[in-house]
Amino acid sequence: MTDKKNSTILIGLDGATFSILDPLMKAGKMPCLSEFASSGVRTELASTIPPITPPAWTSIMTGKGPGNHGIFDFFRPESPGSHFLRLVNSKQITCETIWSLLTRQGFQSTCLNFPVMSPPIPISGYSISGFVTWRHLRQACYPPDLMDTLKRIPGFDLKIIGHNFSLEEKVIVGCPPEEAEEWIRYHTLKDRQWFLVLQYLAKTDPCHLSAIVFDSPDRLQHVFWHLLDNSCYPGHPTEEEKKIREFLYDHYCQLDRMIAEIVSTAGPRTNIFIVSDHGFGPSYERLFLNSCLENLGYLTWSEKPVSVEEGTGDVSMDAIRRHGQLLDWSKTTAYVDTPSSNGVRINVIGRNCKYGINSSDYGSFLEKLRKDLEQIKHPQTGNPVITRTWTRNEAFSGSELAPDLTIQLWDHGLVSTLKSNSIIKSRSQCTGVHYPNGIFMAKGPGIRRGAKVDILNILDVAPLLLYSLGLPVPEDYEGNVPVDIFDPDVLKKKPVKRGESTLPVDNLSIPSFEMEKEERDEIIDRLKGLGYLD
Amino acid sequence: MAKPEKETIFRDILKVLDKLSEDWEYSGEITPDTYVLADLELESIDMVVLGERLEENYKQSLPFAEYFSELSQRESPDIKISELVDFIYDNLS
Repeated sequence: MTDKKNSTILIGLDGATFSILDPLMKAGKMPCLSEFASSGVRTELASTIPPITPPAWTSIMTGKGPGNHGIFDFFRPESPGSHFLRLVNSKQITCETIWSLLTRQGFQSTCLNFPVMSPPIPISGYSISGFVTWRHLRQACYPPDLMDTLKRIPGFDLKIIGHNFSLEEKVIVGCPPEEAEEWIRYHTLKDRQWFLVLQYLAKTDPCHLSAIVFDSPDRLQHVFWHLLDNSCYPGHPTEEEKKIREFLYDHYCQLDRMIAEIVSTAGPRTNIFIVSDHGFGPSYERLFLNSCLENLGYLTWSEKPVSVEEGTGDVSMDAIRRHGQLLDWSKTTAYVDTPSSNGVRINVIGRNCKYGINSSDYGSFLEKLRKDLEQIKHPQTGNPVITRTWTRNEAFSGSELAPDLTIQLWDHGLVSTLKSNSIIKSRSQCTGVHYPNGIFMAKGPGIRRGAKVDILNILDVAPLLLYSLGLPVPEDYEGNVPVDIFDPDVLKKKPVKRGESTLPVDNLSIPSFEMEKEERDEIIDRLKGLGYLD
Repeated sequence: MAKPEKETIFRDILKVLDKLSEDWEYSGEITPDTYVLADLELESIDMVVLGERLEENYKQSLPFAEYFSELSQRESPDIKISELVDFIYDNLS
């Protein structure tokens, strides 16, 4: 058995950004995080292209960018070239995760609430995927009987810990003020459930690497950015707005307390890393990119009756499901299919498409499309609305599953896929959108205290975790161990080593780690001793 | 593998539903006329998971996304178990 004393913890705060956390720390509402930052290292963490949850967390889990891990969005075409969309799942991850790699090395991991981890990948340790409804969470757990154990934890509530797609749709369609308190409290309770599971596993069967994602910062910042960001907060807030702000502050306070307990349980010999998958910032308008493409002659809307939300251009899960019916595919050459990745796809005849451009014209068509999009100007300011573009070769190693062109907007917002009579519309209120730079914080033995280091890349997180566990970094990892965060003496004693490449997913031979009866009995005895079981 | 008959597909759906429903209860009898959303009290996202499990059962991909997209065009996106049986039967190779 590998020594578990020098363990490592990764705390993920989905969408956390210093522009929100710093004022909260300064105001004394997040004392643990404040102390963590001052006694360790803090800097920004550059996200993936695009900076969205599934590709970014998958990069953290694999040490590779989307072009090499295969996750580009929340959705994927049903089959190559299909215009119908499915949610992504773990079967689309095309490389080895850190959990599998650690299993091969004889290390145990706990992996909680990471997206795209369902169906579960057999590992040594424990895995529960995020973005799974309570009804199906049992099938998203590893080992398969983990849910039965969890149900015996006092306070465990399956209906809260599971992803509630109906409630979370407020992230897209907004939250009425009268429902704000309940919605914020729901996220506090949900985070608490994941925290409960982490602490339970840490006490009963501690792993070498324990990793958890708290997803509430992302959800709350999407909806309540105008109340969280001091620069957007109304000059004369209503009583209701003041009240909602207090609920939000209370949530962040409670999140800080959970982090404090995790840090305390881990003890001083543990390296702890706190990261977010992307940053956040304000957006006041929304770009209707499919309408832009229509104006440029690339796209024709369907004449079929398709119900389209009016107003701000936000789309719900149902509207995404209807996407396949939205366009006249015989008269469309370029389009955006999801409102969550800013990816433009091109219809190419033969790429499983009956219609579109000839494959021999692809290169020239792509360049023209890129130029046309870069020339779209904001109707009021006259400034370009698309500030950067990447082809799939530039951003995704040419992966054929990736969008043909990925764009970045002037305000880092996401485009709407819906039809609109004007290409830009104001949002009903300032909303939070994903910015490219998230947060990075580190504390532990050998980590410098209060050091200022340059921005890190999300691809550096997996190498860092392996280094922290004393393991070599696979040659094919795209990032590096951020050596600047460690004391020079530590690096001298324990230099960074590169090791063998990760295994292709088809070649993964994961040993069975089903517990023997004796081991199971021993754990049950420990649980009884800790008061978890009668 | 020979293409299964509709009766076999119906039983396969019951087996998959039985496995999925360990943490939620449905006490009534499931018949070909049972509605997936209204009677089983599932949400549309649950239908997506049901579709994935059925694909695993048959070890082949079925055009569920297209099917669900078409359902979303109807006045009610709910379907009877018998419709699901027909869809699988029509698309299994």
